[in-house]
Amino acid sequence: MKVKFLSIVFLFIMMGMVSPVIAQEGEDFWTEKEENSETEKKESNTATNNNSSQPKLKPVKNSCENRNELREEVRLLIRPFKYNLAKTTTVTYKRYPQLMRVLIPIYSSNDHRIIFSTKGLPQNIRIKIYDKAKGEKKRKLLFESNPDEPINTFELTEDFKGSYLFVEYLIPPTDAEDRSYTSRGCVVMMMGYLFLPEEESEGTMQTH
Amino acid sequence: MKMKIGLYSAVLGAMFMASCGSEPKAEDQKVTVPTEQTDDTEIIEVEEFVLPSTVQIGDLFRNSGLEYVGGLTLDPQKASSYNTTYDKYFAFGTYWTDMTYCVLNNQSQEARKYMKVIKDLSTDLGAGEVFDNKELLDRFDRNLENNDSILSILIEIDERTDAYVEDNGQEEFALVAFVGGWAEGMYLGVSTVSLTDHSELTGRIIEQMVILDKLIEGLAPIEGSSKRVDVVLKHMRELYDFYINIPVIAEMEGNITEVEIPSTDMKLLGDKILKLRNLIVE
Repeated sequence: MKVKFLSIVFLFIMMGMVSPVIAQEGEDFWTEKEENSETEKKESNTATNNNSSQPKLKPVKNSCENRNELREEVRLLIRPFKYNLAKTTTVTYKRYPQLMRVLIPIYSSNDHRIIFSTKGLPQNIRIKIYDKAKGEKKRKLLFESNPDEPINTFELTEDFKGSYLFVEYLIPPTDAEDRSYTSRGCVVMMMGYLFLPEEESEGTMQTH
Repeated sequence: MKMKIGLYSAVLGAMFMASCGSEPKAEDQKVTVPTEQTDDTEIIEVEEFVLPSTVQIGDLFRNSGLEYVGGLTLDPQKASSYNTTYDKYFAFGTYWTDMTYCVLNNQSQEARKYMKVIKDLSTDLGAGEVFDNKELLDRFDRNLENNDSILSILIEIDERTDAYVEDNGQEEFALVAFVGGWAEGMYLGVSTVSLTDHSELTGRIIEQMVILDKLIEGLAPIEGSSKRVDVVLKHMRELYDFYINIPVIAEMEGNITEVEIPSTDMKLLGDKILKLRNLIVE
């Protein structure tokens, strides 16, 4: 009787020990199942039967195919300021909001003009410029764009004492109803500077 | 009775063992299960630092009193001694600053030599697209004696180079070249100005130190790619540590160009800048 009882207990113990070993040796159960289910979904959604093991990427609708023209337009708007730097930031819209930061060095005794072109975006974003990094005390908002305007201009006068401008692009969630593709676009930012000898700087228009 | 108790114990024991050895719960496992982001979630993207223009820096230095001193710039013939890709990136930036220095100080013949070296280096690096523009180079050549026009042409070349970098994913080239050019500009500054007295030019030199930590951050991912990058990066970190621990810098408020660094510290800063430049070009 005792032998029978011990045999049953031993049997159950052995069954209990096998299961975690399988989990440890192979991939995690949850990940494997999720990957398999995702693969099955993708295979069932595609029109053609693709035997490749690579995950299928969504097609991209890019609104920024003409970035050279966008840059050229902004370059003309920078005048009479002299070109200093530019950055074309690619934006990929997701189902959640995003925040992208761009850090721009600034030199004193110069007026600066910054132009933002959002013509290469399928959906409006908001642009903000601060004088300090996020989290710093007395951080001041210097500029906020009009999201309905495709071209926004900000002029910084020479009396700005900071060494950087902190630009933020606030990107909303995608408003595309059709989620079978990824929306992408670009923001063109260009900055120019004007060196002002002392006798000219007093007459400069203060634009903020 | 005893048998029943024994049986129930076995069953309970088995149930207990089964629960321990069953498929692991998600919370027990360290896995990254993709989760849906809610509409209120924000993702902070990587911050991008935009490199300033070396032409603007040269313009600032010139307007702050940087004068031309012959023999300081890097010998154009040394270009052939740079063999690795990163050495050529550094050299490109160094020669670009030297050319700007010569152009802004009306040294036309020297400027032409540097333009040729830059063109050859860019072709060697597969980036000849900008400097193969014959019309642009002809305009450069014709306007060397005209200060306003030549500055506009340099700026145009700068802008085309920036566009090329963006379109072709050459950010690494741009960064390393910028470090070379930046160090050369700083070297020209500390070599020509008196470091014992605060002046507009020393103020500009100090102003330029502000971006050093960003340059270090930018180079850090390519540490280990080249001996020169490693040596330069190491010294940049030492330079930055020295600079950030100068008391007046640590306590600084307001416009950095107005900060007066004690002459002993300024001289030490100058020595470190000279060493950095030498590590880049030797």
